[in-house]
Order: sequence, then structure tokens, then C-alpha cells
Amino acid sequence: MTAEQTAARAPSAARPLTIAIAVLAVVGIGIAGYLTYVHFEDIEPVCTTGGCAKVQASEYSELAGVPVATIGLVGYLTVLATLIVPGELGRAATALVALIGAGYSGYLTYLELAVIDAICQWCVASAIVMTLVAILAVVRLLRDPGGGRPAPDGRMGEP
Amino acid sequence: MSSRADEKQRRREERERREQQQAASDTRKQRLWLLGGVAVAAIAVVAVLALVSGGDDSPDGLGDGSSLNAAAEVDELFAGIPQDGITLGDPDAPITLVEFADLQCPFCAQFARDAIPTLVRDYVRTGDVKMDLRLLTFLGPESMRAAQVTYAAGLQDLAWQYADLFFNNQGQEGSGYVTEEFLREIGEGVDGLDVDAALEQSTSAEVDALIKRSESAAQTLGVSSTPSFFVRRGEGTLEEIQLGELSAEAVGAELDRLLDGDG
Repeated sequence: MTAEQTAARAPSAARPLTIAIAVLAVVGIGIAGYLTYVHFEDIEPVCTTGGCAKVQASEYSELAGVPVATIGLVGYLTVLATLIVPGELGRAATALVALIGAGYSGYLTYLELAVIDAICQWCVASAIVMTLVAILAVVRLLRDPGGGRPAPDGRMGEP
Repeated sequence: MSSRADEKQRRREERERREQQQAASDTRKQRLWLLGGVAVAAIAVVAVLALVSGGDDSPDGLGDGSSLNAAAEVDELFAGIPQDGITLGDPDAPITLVEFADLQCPFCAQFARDAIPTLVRDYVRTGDVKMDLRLLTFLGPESMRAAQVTYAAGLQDLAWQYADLFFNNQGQEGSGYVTEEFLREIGEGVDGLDVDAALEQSTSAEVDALIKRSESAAQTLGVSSTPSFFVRRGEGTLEEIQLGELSAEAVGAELDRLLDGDG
């Protein structure tokens, strides 16, 4: 029963971080989904910064023919999927996907500022969301399942 | 006896605590290694993505040359519309709209992207208006080279497609992006164009004469900036359109006025 108890403790202790990541991923899905929609419908996104259409029309808006918005959408969905995978493997996978997403979003934001010379608010919002997901995913990976207490080493709960 | 038992108990607790601390420390180290591995993998993937996404240092708008912007749209826009040299549309159309443009001029590119599709669909395709493209070379040798190849495409009656695709992939003015390779790539994006022939004819006397004709027309009409627009009904004289804004609506209003017979 000890192992079961231990297994039961881990998810519940890590739950606030998992929930926070899931909520952020859903926000990201909303943003990336909207950008994917406007890309395929060929309409201009609602934009207060004035540069969204220019960014969407730039050569960097696609990666090997796939809109980066769609890649972002897949990224957020993958983050959500990895949250279901239990144990260290799942937490590492979440961190890996989120770090790739945050790194690539950072690169795209650099391109907006330095090369395309236009800012797309939706893209920046997505970059911020993905960065937050990455930070939380790294904390979740480093933190013990017991919420900072020493890791259960198999003897926990023994008399 | 009791104190010996206590001491034994204390030592055992101490040992267990040390073992727990050691285990926790091992776990932390293991996770830091794991994080390091994850971070390295993430950096590698991002680097590959950045390379694939066309982030080379070439100043043109084509990136790695694998993706021309809007080639399919341009093809679709002009499909089936008669073209003769620099003229697009029904030769018997009652109204002629003449655009003076420089292929490197950003406002011309903006007009090509934002207004030309509407004008072509609503006025040219309907047979009401034909459009002449007069290329100028205000912005230097790159504009000249681009105009030469566009006019050479015009010899194959594909000048409008070439110019429109050029505008859709326009780079930074005067940055050196108008290379022979760039001109060839644009040509390859134009459906039906014999690119080799166009490049060869681009330095021909015929093309040179077309460019000179545009320049002298611009001089006669007093064109000092691009894009500039002129209209005429039938074989009448060209009159300049003064536009409050560069939009299909603004040009369309002038065309409607002429079509209604107010001009």
C-alpha cells in the first residue's frame, strides 16, 4: 500500500503547478488558434499595434510551409498532453516542449523587432504565455512531488 | 539501560535523517542533470527551427528562396485576363488607367498588395478598364534591372504577373537584394514565363525602348513621384488622379466617375 500512497501523494502535491500550466496552455491555444484561423481565412487579425498583418504576411510566418501559429497551437496542445503523462518523464517532456516553445517564441519576437520591424500583439502575448509555461514547467520538474519535501525513497511510510 | 537504548534510537534517527538528506540531495542532482539535458535538447531544436525558418542574412524578401510570397494569389488574380505588353485588360475597355511605378518603391508595393487585386477584379476583369504599367527607375540601378526584366516578361505578355510578384516579395530599397538570382526566382514564380528568355531579352533594344518611352511619358506628364496615376476615356488625353489615399476605393471613385460619363 505504501507505493500506492506515495503515488497518490505526488500528483496531488504537484497539482497547483499542473493546473497553472494547463490554464496557461488553454490561453495559448486561444491565441494560437485565433492566429491560425486568421491565417487560413486570409483576414487581418484585430490589432492595436498596427503590425500584425505585416508580421502575418512576412516570410517568417511560416516554417516549411506550416504557419507558425499552427505550430504554436500544436505546441500548446502537446504541453497539455504531457501534463497527463505521470512521473518524471512527463514533467521532463512538459519542460522540453515549453522550453522549445519559449525559445522559438523569443526568436520570433527578436525577428519582429529587428528584421520585420513590426510588432504583433498576439505573437508577443503568446511568447509571454509560453515563457510562463516554461518557467512553471521547470519549477515543476525540479520540485519534489511532495511540494519541496524530500523525495519519497520507497521507505517512506514504513514503520 | 534506558539511556543506551535512547542513544541507539537517537543514532538510528540521525542515520536515517542523513540517509534521507543524501537521497534528497541525489534526487536534486539527478533532476538538475535532467533539466540540463532538457535545456540542451531545447536549445538544439530551437537552433534548427531558426535555421529552417529562413533566417539567413540575405537582404531579400525570399529568405532561403524556397518560398515566394503570394505566387498562387498572383497567378489566380490575373488568370484569363488579356494582356498585351504593358497593358492588362480588354483592349476595347472604355477607360485606361495608367500607373507609373518604381519596383523598389514601398508605396507601390503597398498599392500592389492592397488595391490592385480589388481594381483588377472590379474594373479590369469586367472589361470596364484596362491598365497600363509604366515603370520608372527613380531609385537607382536595382530599379532599372528590375524594370528591364519586367518589361522582358511583358514581351511574353506576363509583365503584370512579374511586377505584382516582385512587389509582393519586395525587399529593403537599395539593399542589394535585386540580384540576378532574385530576378530569376520571381520569374520562376510566374506561371508560364520562359525565365531564360526573359532574362536574355531584358537587355535587348526592344526593352530599352520601352523603358525610354516610360521615362519620356513621365517627363511629359510631369510625374515626380511613384506611384502616380492617370486616366483617360477612349483615346482622350491623360489626366492625373489626385488621391487622398492610396486605396482601391480612392482610385475606384475616379474610375466610377469616368464610367458614369462625368469625366
